[in-house]
Amino acid sequence: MTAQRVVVAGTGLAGFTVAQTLRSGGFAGEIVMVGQEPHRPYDRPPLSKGFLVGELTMADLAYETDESRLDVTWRLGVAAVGLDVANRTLLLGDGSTVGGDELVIATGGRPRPFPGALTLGSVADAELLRPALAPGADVVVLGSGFIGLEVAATATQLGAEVTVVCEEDSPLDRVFGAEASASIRGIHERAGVRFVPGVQALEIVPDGDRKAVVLSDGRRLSSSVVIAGVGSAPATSWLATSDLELSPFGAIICDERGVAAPGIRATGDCASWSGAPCRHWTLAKERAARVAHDILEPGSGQESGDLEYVWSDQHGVRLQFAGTLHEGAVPTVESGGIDTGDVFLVYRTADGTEVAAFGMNQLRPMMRWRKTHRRRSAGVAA
Amino acid sequence: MLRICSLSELVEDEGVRFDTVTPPIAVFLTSAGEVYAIDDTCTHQDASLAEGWVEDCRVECPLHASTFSLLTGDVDSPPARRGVRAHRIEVVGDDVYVQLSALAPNLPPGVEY
Repeated sequence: MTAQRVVVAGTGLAGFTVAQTLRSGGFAGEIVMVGQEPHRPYDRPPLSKGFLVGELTMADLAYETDESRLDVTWRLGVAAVGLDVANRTLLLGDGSTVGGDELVIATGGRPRPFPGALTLGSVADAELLRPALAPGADVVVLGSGFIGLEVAATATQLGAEVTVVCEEDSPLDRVFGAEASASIRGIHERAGVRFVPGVQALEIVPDGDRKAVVLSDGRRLSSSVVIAGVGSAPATSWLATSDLELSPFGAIICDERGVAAPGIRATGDCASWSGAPCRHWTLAKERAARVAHDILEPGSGQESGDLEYVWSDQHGVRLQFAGTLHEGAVPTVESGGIDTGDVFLVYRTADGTEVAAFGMNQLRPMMRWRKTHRRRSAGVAA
Repeated sequence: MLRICSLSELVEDEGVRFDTVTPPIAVFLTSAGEVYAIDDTCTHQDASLAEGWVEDCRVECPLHASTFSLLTGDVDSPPARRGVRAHRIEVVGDDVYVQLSALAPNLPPGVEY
């Protein structure tokens, strides 16, 4: 290990995990963390759930505690705006520069905007959104991915009337299949959420002091507030003029270990490794730890072998999905029921191979399924 | 010490939750035959660690990715940021006794017992 100074751009899960893993691995040099937001690293998944509803405070979200402060140099509230690849140096928004022996880019993703709609990607977004979700509000949510559905559930909990516009015939049915989708739709509809499926939102236009969402079938939905959960994009616009190569979707193109250029690595939602984007919380954490291990000792970062795993909380139900949905994989109800909010599904290919599982309030079976179906080649302890 | 359960109630490489004490604890039997007890509730969010995955003397929370040491209760990485309490166990014959930690528990926000 020769690096004396590691500079990390981004203070989300990926950036935090890089710094934490470097320190726990014995790195004694300087770590500089550059963050656009004024906050120290915090947990983002609760932004659409416990934080939005007001049960969790900013202090609850912080990754550090008084006893576990990261030993790093903070540059907070200032964005990275440019990169000198050859000298591994960031240009910051205040005109200063910061360079290191190793540079890690972990600037994450940003919600895709929809003109006229609010989005949710940060504490500031959530604080802006919360007052608009009071009783009496009628809320239109664009998109039925996890963020859209979580916001719909939270808004309902806060007393708002909620309508979800989804392009699919039923929420998430192209992602998880009809059975899981019906289970998810059920918990929402029983809580009073209305779905408008199979249509696209074209634009948002003024409607007196309200807003109207114009749909592809000609209908207009009047609402007091519109929230877009229509995916996210890598936060890499600041690299457009750098020498780093970006994918058509804006992700930093890296090799299979996250190396984008000599001494420059990228990880988390802003990076694509060997053509594979990051997409999920658990993978962002795993890749960030690998990057840190590779900085500590080249080649030492290892894949965990864990399967893709995502979770969500909606209307008090824990949703979990693990694995990869191969073409033609068919789900079977292993326990619980589609209509009772407690289903456990296992997806099998035609030859009977189990490739994925979906559970609602099925924590123990899901945990067991995830671990017993890990990739065995990945050096997992027996 | 308090008798918490019998050895035969435990399942190898799994946790069992006991709410006869407050807050509830999770008791684990490892494949090496050791018995450990820690607080059952993850410090990040309300989840039962007894439903987690036991490996290398650690348990992974069944909801997210944090793991806790069965020996000390310490946590490895986010989203949990505080460890759970570890309790002293003694096995006499088929009886499992626990000496609860005197420390204050680290319960997640919004969870009270």
